[in-house]
Amino acid sequence: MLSHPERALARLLDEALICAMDRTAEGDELPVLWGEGWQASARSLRAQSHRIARSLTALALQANTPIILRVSIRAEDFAWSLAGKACRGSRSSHESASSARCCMPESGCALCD
Amino acid sequence: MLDAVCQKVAAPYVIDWRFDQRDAEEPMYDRLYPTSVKPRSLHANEKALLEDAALIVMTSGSTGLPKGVVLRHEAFAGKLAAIQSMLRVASEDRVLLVLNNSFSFGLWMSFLGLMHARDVVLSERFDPAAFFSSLLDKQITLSAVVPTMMRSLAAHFSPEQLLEQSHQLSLKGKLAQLVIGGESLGTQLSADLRQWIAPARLIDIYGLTESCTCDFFLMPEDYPAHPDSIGQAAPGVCFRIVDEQGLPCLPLQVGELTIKSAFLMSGYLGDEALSAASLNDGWLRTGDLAQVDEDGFVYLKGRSKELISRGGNKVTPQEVELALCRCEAVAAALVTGIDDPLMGERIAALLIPKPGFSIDEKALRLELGRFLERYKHPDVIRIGHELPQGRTGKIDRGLLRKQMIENQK
Repeated sequence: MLSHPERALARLLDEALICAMDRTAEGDELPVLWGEGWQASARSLRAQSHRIARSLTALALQANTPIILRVSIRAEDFAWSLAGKACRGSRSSHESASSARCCMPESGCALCD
Repeated sequence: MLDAVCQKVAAPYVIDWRFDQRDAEEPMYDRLYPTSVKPRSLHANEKALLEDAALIVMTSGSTGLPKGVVLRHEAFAGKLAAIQSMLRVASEDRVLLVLNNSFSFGLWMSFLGLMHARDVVLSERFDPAAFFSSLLDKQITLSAVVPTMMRSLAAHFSPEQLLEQSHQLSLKGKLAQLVIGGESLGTQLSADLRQWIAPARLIDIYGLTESCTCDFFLMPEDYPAHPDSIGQAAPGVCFRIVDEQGLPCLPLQVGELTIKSAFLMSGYLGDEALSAASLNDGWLRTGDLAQVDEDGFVYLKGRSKELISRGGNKVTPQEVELALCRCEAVAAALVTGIDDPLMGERIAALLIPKPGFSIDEKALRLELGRFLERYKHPDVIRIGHELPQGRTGKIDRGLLRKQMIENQK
């Protein structure tokens, strides 16, 4: 079991992105995500997640405050939110941000499973 | 709906994520705004439920407001490790993701891909016409799908076209593993799909959002001896099959499948009664009827809530669907019960013909007699072009029931 369960997912993903940056021969600019008409490197995902983390931290949200992510059917929307989770829990300055996330599609009521 | 969900999970903020191609330097933006309704305060027991929570996944109910399944970081991360021990995603893998990411299956596949694969290719929606070419053109090594997607291949391509697509994939493609789950695969589709993707491995999974998914794996090496099984329990998962009194069933006796593991949900947020009904002494009630053989392989026999009671005879929709799909002209079938003043319920079926075939009801009933007892035959048969689907791409039996009842009127 993981020693810091409240940050486990965030840490795993952050480490995964760092590993992705390390294993790409040309550094951190090679895409790790390909969408339809766009691509994203591990570096850009991490940069975006820092920005998101700063926004959440600025709101001084308490730990375990649920935040709703409006996930559309487009997979890339949620890919960014994965990155959003990645950095937030792994840095002390972000720890006041909430860790619980509620996923829901953009519209409709038949949701996840 | 958003307001209702905000209220249910007591969320003060909503984040919208968008991809904006106009700005190449910073090609996306996010929008964070307060919820439009004042969220209620969390009760002490709800606060406890949210301790260490990573995700509240909104699961579909067939009616009403979805349930908020609370999953802890430790549980989800632990399940990811367990899945990785089975799939062994490697740094040279390229993952094709066609699943909806608000669906727990898509969620763990995204995580696993980002964590272990070389890269992940995302697709906005599943297109049967483009599936094989995507696997080929992008040199995909691993993908994950739900059976409805694969059934749509059979409806879209003729058998000859499928053979040709399959041949090209085996010659020029790199697909090594295809993971399938989310709903019952069925005997015929399972056999067909294994041919279509050969020599790639088909891995059939079973699990619930409430258990972080993937509680059972049917691995390719176990398929020949146990073709209709959902496989064996995944690492770290215990199961038992119980009768209506909650007592363990004998081998081969059908009962409700219950699961215990370190990966179970903490509960349903805002619904203590439902949490208590679903989690009993650490055992999660799946609502699925199942039996286990002497080798520990589990066989699903239907949903306890979906059982059709026709004149007192209990019939599972799945056994009728399996038999219908063995008929020559049928590409896909979906079965439901509809209320009947005389019989209690009658059996209604929606059938999709194979390309180039038409379904003659009289001939079909004759053929069906070879595979299924007479009292389990559908009372009502409708022919259509596609099965009703929910937003996650899975078949929607509840919607079929509504449509059938409407048609009866």
